Formats: sequence, C-alpha cells, structure tokens
Amino acid sequence: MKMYLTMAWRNIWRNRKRTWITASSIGFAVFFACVMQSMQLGSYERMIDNSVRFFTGHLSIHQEAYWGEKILDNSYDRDQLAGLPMDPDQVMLSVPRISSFALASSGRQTKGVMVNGINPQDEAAMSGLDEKVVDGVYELEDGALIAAGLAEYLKIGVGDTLVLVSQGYHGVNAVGQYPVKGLVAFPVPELNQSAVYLSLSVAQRFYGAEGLITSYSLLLNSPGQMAAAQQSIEAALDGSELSVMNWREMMPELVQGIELDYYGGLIMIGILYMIIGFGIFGTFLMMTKERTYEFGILTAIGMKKPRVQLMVSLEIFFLTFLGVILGLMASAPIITYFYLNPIRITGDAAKAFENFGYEAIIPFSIDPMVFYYQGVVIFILALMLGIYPILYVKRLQTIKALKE
Amino acid sequence: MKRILLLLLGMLVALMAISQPTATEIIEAADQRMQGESNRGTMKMSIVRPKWTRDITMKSWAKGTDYSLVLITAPARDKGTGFLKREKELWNWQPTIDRVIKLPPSMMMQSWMGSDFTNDDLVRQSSIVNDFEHTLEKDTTMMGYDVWKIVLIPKPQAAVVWGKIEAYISKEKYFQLIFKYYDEDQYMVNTLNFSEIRMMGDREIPTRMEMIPAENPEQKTVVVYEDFEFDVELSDQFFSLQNLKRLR
Amino acid sequence: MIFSLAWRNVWRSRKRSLVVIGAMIVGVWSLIFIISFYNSFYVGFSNNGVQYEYSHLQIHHPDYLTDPNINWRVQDLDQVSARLERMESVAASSYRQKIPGMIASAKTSAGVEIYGVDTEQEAATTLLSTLVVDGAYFEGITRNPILVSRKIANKLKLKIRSKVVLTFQDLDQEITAASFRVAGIFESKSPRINEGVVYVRQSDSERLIGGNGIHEVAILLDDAEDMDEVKHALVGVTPSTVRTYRDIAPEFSLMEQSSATTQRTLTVIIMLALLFGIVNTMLMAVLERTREIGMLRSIGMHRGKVFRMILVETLTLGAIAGPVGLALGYITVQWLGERGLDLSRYSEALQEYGYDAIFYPEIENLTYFGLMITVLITAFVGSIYPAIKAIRINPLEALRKL
Repeated sequence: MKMYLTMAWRNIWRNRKRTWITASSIGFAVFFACVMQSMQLGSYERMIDNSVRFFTGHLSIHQEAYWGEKILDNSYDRDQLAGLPMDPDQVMLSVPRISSFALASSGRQTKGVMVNGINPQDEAAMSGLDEKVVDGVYELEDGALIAAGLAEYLKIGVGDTLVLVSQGYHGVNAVGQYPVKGLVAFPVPELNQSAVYLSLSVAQRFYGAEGLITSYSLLLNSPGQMAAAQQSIEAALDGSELSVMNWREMMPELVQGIELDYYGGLIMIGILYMIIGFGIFGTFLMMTKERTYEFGILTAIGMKKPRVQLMVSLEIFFLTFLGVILGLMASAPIITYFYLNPIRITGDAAKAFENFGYEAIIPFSIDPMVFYYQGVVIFILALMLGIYPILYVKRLQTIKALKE
Repeated sequence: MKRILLLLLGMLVALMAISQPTATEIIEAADQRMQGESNRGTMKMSIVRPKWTRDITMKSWAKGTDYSLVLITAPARDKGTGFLKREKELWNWQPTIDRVIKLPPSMMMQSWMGSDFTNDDLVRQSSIVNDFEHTLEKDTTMMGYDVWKIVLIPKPQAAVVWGKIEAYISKEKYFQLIFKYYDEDQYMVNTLNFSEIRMMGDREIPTRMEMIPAENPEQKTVVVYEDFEFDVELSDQFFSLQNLKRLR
Repeated sequence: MIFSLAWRNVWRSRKRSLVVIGAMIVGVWSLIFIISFYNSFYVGFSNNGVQYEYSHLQIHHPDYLTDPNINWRVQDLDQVSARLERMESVAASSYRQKIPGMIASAKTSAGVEIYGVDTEQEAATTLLSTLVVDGAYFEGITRNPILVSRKIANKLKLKIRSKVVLTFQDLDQEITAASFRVAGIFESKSPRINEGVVYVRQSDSERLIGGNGIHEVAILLDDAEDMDEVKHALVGVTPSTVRTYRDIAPEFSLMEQSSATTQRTLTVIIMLALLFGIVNTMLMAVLERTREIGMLRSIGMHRGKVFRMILVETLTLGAIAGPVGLALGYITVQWLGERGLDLSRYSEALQEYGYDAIFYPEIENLTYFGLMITVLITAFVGSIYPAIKAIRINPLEALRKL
C-alpha cells in the first residue's frame, strides 16, 4: 500500500501544471459554493437578526397566557426572574419591556398607539433604537420618544406634550402627559404610525404596574446556543407561571418564508454544482486522456489493472483533498473580508433597501457550517466524478494505448 | 242568578285582560323603576377575577336616556376621574392631566374601567325599550316571585349585537331579576343577575347587579347601590363638560 | 482559415468540447430558469398588489394621507371622473368612501376600515366579486349587506346572514352605529385587506355618515406603461394627490430591486464558475497541444494568429452552447409559463406575503439576447489566459519535447 501512496504522490507532482489546474478547478468549486451559500445564509441571518433584535429577542420570557392574549393583566413581576441561569457566555443582552395599548391625544387628534416601556441603554444595544432618532434626542427620563408618523398625525413635535390615556394593570385608570423628547422614524408604516416609548419605570407607573414587565427578551451571542439556553431556562422556570419561547415559535411566518427561500436557494446551489461538476469533469477527462500512454506502459510491464486503478484513485483523492483545502483557504479570508466589509449596493436598489430600513449591503455569513458543508459536498462530488478515470483504466486496451 | 254569575265572570275576564300589561309595557315599567325620570346615587363596583378583586366606588347622576355622569371617588389613583355621556357621545375627564377626552368609536367596545361592562354598555343602556320587539313568553316563578319571562328580539334596523335577550321581571312591582344575553346562534354570552331588593329613596329596587360572562364563569363584575334617589332636580346644564370638570 | 481550423480543433477532442459546451448549456439554461422564476415572484407579487389591492393609481385628498379622516374628500371629483372617462387607457375605476370604525358581533369586536363602494365599479377594478368564497357578492341580503374577510369572520364568529354592528364617526363627528348582515365572505390576496377591510354599499355608507364625497379613487389601466401619462393628466385636473401603486407601497420597488440584485449576483457567480471551467479546459487543451502549436509557430504562423485561433475556438464553443441553452431555456419557460409552478405546499407563508401558490415563470425577450452576449463575453474572457499561454510557447522547445 505504501508503495501506491508514494507512487500516487509522485505522480501528482510529476506534472505540476496539470495538478494545479485540476486542484484549482476543485478549489474554485468550493469557493463558489461557499460564496453562494454564505450570501444566502447571510441574508437570512440579517433578516432574523433584524426581527429578533427589534421584536422578540432570540428567546423571550413571558407569562404563559401572554402569547395568546397580549394584555397587561398577563404581565409578571420582574423579581420572579431573579436566580434564573443567565450564562454570560450565552446571553449577550437581556431586555425587559412592558408593552400595551393606549390612546394618544394632542388637542383634537386622538389615536390608538402601542406604548413600550423600555430601558434606553438596553434598547439601544439591542435594536439600535437610538440610531432611528430623526429629531430631538435619544433620552427618556420622564419624557417620551414617539414615532415620526404618529407625531405628524398628532401634529406635535419635540418639546410638545403627549397625553396618554389607557387602562392599566387590572383595569386601573392610566393617564399621563409626557414631554416629547425625540422622534424616531421606522420604515414599517405600522410601527411608524403607532410606536411610543417611555422609560420602563415611567411606563410601569403609567399602567399602575410597578415592578411588572410583559416580556423579557434575551439576545444570545450566537443563535446556535438557543436550544441549550432555552432548555436551561425552561428547567429553571418549571413550576412557575412563566414560559420561555424562541423566535421560531414567536415568528412562524418568518421561519416559513425563510424555508421557502432556502429551498429556492438549494435549487440554485444544485445548478452551481452542475456547472462546477462539468468543470471538474473536464479536467479529469483531460488528465486521463493525457496519461493514456502512461497507463498503457504500466499495464504492458505487468501491473494489474486494479492496482493501476488503486493508484489513480489515490491520486484523485489527493487532488480532491488538495483542491478542497485550497478552496477553503481561498474562500475563508475572502468571505470573512466581505462579512466585515460588506459589498455596498448603489443606485435605485440602495434606495429601495433603505426605504425599508435595510442597510443597502449584500450580507455574508461566516457560519462554519457553510465551509464544512460545501467542502464535504464538493469533495464527494469530485470523488464521484473521479470514477471516470478509474473506469477508463478498466476499459483500457494496452495495445491501443501504446499507439497514442 | 245564572245570568248574573255569567255577567260577573265576563267582567272578570275583561278586567283580567285589561290588567295584564303588554310585554313592552312591562319592560318600560321595569326600566322606569330602575331609572326614574332622573336619579342620583353612590355605588360600589367590584371587579372579580380568579386571582384578584378590585373595588371602585363612584357617584352617578342620570337624566332620561340621553344624559348621565359618573365620578370615581375611590381608589385614590382613580379619584376624580369622570365620565359624561351626552346622547351618543362619551367623554372622559382626567383631572391628573387636566383634560377631557372624547372616546373614539374604536374605544367603544372596550371594557369600562376594566370591568365586564363595555363603554358601549354605558352609552346605550336604555335601548332595551326602543331597540327591541318584546314578546311575553311565559309565566314562571323565581326567587320567590311570580315572574314574566319576556323575550327581546332586536328590531331589524337596530344597531344591536345581541341576537336575543331574555328578561325575567317580577309581576309584583316590576323588579328586573335576570337578563340573559344571547348571540344570533342562540348561545348565551352574558348573564346579568339582580338581587338584594331594598328601599332606595322613594322605591324598592334590586340593589345588587352581577354581570357574568358565559365564557368565563369564574369572573364577574358586581355593582352594589349604596344609596340612590329618584326623580331629583337636574338641569341639562348639569351634564356639561364644564360641570364634568367642576364636580368633586 | 482560422475559423475552419478552430472548428476542426473543437471537434478533434470531442469529449472535452462537449464538456465545456455542456457546462455552458447548463449555465445558460439554468440562468433563464432562475431569472424567469424570480420574475414570476415579482410579477405575481405586483400583479396581485395591482389587481386586488392598489390598482395602478389612486387619488386622495393631500391631508387624507397623513390623517385618514372622512372630512378629507377628493377635490374636483366631477372633473376627475370626466377626465377618466375620456381616457382610453383607463380600464376601470372605483370611487370609494373609506371610514375608520369598528365592527362588533356578540362575540368580540375589531378595528376596521369600512369601504363604501359602488359594487359594479369595485368588481371591475379589484375583482372583489371573484374573491367571495362563501355567500354572494352583495346579494341575498336586502338591507345593509356587508362583505367581510374570512379572517374577520373567524375572529368575530360570523357566518352568512350573521349580524354585525359597525360603529364610526359621521361627518358631524357624531358617533354612529348601524347593523349590517353578512352577505359574503371573501379571501383577498392582500394581507392588509384580509386583516381589516370590510365592504358595504356606497348608498348605505353615504346614508350613515350623512353625506357623499369620495375619499379614494382607484384606477385600473389596461397597460401599466400608461401609468405616468395618466398620472400627469390627472395632476392637472385636481389638487388632490395622485399616486401610482409604486408610490403608495414601497415594497414593490424593494421587491423589484432585491430581485434584480439577486438575479445579477447569480448571473455573475454562474458566469464566474463557467469562466473558470472554460479557462481550465482551454488551458489543458493548450498544454496538450504544445507540440502542435510549436509546429504551427515554426512553420510560420504569427503569434497573433495563434492567439486568434485559441480565441475563436473558445468563442465557437460559446456560439454552439449559447443557442442550445437559450432554446432549452425558452422551451422550459414556455412550458412552465403555461402550466405554472405549484408551490401550494408553502401556501400559508406565501399568503402571508401576498402571493398566489402557483407561479408562472416569464422572461423578457431582451434577456435571451443579453444572456447570449454574456456567454460570448465569458468565453472571450476565458480564452485570453490560455491564448496568452499558447503564444508564449517557444517553438523550438516545444518541438524538442518529444
């Protein structure tokens, strides 16, 4: 066996040009597949990240009845969360919120709004709310931040007074007036017409819900830790009236949308494999053809065909391995570069994206699965195509080959 | 002798026919007993939920079907809050922010002060007389009273969500005893029970009302009249926004 | 001379050429498939939006846009309708009253927008009558009929003939309520309409808010190309705001642009992969023919000619593969375009985003042309490096090799 290994290894390096061409065609296959999948996953990651940061967190803890009926009476005492296992290696941010409906009024105009009691620092870190301020300042204290569209409807601006009326916890009368500290603009019209932010303590006082929150959202360091974190929290909450949900449970339509797109993406990657496959096959074809004479000689001097085949298989294995490693080595830094410095979209497309609150970039993913999965798939693909040379050797007629 | 007897019998039958009021008259009389031309009183409302209970005390004034005014006196957090109903509009006075807010249509079906009553119930409480066709269904007994069971079916044009209301009203003194609210598929939605009949002002009325939603029988809202006067002198001016702000 | 030489060279190594041609064919064919599929997504999305929700153009009072209050009525309505009637490109139009309000059953209540519509106009403009899945389009109920969505019907537990109460403010700011009976239940393609729009007859809504006046004019055109022209014509007639569906809903341009971006990115990736296959194979071909090229050079062939020979050889491959790929793509698109691609397995998610479950791939004729050019450019670029290698071959050394 050792002899075949040595022979195969030597054969590879005998014709360096050919080897590099073959290996690089495999390497490029890995590279293209990685880039494509990275872009696909990158766009999902962005979508998920946006939604998770803005709406639910990766995980969210609420009172069991809350998800079915989002009313203030289904809020809970934040102290109940004391002693919860919050592994700092997993949980990046934890954000308490109290949210409910209210009637916002300014003189003649009255409108139903969504009041969110938040902790401004946490919220800025989680959803980047501070970057959405278009007028005034990002500070709450005893004031309010309101959505720009809502401000326009109510005909109020920074410095004016916002009146809120609602029903608080257990139906208490909830009223308050708050100076508008800043306006925040949201691309989603629904949000832009109805969002009001108060500081957590002010909102709790407004709703007569001191110490209570409706949700406690957790942002994890990496989505991969979600299952483990959910399990440990679930175990800790067992027996209480609280439950923890992950974003997949909370946003099923997003999951379905991504799934649909993912299958579309698989078709495209499949097509890419085909084209790549042709390329790799082409180089194998050439390699075999070039070496017909050589194979002829080997069989003529008495080497058994299965042994030639073994040797060729080993060569193909080496080549493929070399190619895959080459491809991964090329794609990892390039994809990481684009992950850190994303490609900017310009022109009309950029405007369309920005109108919708997306940054006008093509996001990449550096999920290790991308490299692992594509490396393995191309490796297998190349090995499968490598059957051709082996079959070729089998069918080889020594006399004919020597005539080449 | 026989002829006299027959005549007497005939007169009796005629008399009975006269003395038997129509269903509409019964509903009207019962409503009149509870409302008077006008009224004034204090009451306590208890919102009962499986895990908690909240009590609210209030003063109320009403005149006819168009005007009413409610002022919350306790708990401290809500004290001074007022509601004014003028015809079909509902205004809310919030002393802590010194403002009157007109409740928009979108708020009408929301619960009033967290209770099992809606804002809409407040605004349209008297429509049982005008918005329904009334039929006397049967005589029965209940809580020690001989009662009429009357079925109220909304008039075709009426803006009423109920499919039907069953009202049980005592024959003696026209006490409202039970109201059952049904949807159009004849499923019961709410039950309103009246009890504790006592003297209030110049008349006896049920002083305790219990609203129980059929879907959540473990929760209810109880209103107890603590003191009540009828046919008091109240001007239309009393039911104005200015007065709403002034009342203590 | 070069052409026949190239042509012969192509077929001398049949397998190799077929592999490159095959890769190109798959590349072109799959690009056509993907582009047409993306188009069907976008076209389906915007068709649904135009057909069932926005129409091509809408007119509102300028203040209505920030404050949807029933007092903001479309100005100079008579002139608008007169102008619309004279325009041939207008297929249909619907004049609506839109009243924010509340719908309530004994079960519960929900906030809705009440559309007071002329039933015939609405049917012609938004195909509303075709969306009724239960009951009938404003038929079967004589007094105050109403159409509600399946979603609202479920929430309020409504059936055909169920009674609902609508509460809203009339033109004098008075709160008004009226009872309606469900004549039909519809399922719109638009999530927004399913969520919170109910339809009543305009004669009823006029009576209830105590006046006429239109809050929204929706205009459907025969051809979307005339959109800007019609918009310009109307702007001169009324001070009200005239907007196209693209102005109204930014998601259309987002969809269009992101679909275009994806198509472009995919084209680039596939062409790069193809390019690499071409470079590799041609490079191999050049290496294989080192001796032959050396011979040609030594018998006096110019470097330029050798360069051109390799170039033409590669372009020939593209010229063979391109049309075949295009033809296959064309057949696929025609076939799928007629049959439709059924994705009803995902209909729930699709509906959430306002899609039908069946997609009809389509493609512009120009795209075929563009792809042909792209393939030739790719072949051209792919041939440069091998061609350079070929002219660098030293004739003497090459001959000495054997």
